[in-house]
Amino acid sequence: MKFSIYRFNPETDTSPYMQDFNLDDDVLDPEMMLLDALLLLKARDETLGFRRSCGEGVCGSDGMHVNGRNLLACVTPLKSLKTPIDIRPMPGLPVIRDLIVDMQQFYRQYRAVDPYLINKDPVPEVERLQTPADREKLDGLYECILCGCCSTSCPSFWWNPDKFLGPAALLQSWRFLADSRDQATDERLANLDGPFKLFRCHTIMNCVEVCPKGLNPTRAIGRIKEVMVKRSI
Amino acid sequence: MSGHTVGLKAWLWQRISAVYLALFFVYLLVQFYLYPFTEYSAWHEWIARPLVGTAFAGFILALLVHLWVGLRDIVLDYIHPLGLRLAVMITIAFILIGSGFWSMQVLILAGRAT
Repeated sequence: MKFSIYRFNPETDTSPYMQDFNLDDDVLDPEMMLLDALLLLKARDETLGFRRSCGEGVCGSDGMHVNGRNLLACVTPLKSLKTPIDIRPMPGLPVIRDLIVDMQQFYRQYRAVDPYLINKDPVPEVERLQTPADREKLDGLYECILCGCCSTSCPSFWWNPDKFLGPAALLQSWRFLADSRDQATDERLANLDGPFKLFRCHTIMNCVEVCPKGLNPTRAIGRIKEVMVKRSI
Repeated sequence: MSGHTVGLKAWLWQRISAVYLALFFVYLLVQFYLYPFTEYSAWHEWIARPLVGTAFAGFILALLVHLWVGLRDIVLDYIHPLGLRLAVMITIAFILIGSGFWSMQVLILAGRAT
């Protein structure tokens, strides 16, 4: 099986290049994930850099751009990919080395939406309880693993990564706006206004297309706009 | 919510103008299908009707608003140096306002001439 992998080491390379690799069929298992193949390649060439941790789509470390689409290598079966497999770092973020990108900008936007419960009531003796119906509103929101596949496939995030919050952060913003225990709705909405933070979203829906957890940031963004409209009337 | 709802207002105006434009286009299609103009005087008589003139003025306004928000979006997305962005937006505003006045003048003259 053939691979074409983006290589760049800022200490030795003046510019990035694509390097071809080949794995013989006898070392490949039909059930292998892309990450397994990358680990085989790394055993052969240990200078190949990529992030990985849990290996089962929970930690969100191994987001990469494969055959023109962002995905998690650990949950992508090799047999689902056309060869030669073109593997590049996720677009829109600075490359540290090979497939490793600098996620700082992504995390900065995540922090900007205050991704935690804000409740001014005294801390209760037990948990802050919700009705099952209220809890259900968080389904499809809390599951985000912050892999960055969505934001780095969003053209609006590519053009204005420092100003547009991006789908991942906005999904989390709605996760707390939708939470019946949160009391900072006004502050959260005020923080999202302006032409950039939320309204650079043009409903392109690349985020929905690539999310490895099957989440829908575009719908979350739509819900935020809906609440903004209702509150402004 | 803060009073500075710049993003929300632009987004809302884009949608409101889109709805008007869509409805007006349907009206135009129906009008031209049912009563196709064969000569200038028939068109002139139609455009000079106060209701049609008002609807047309609304169309021009909606088109200008829609254009402004759409072009502003493109400028905000793609032009990052502040000076250049400002210059392009001022140029666009100038062209749109000029086009608006010119279109309104055409409408008013068409109404008067009857």
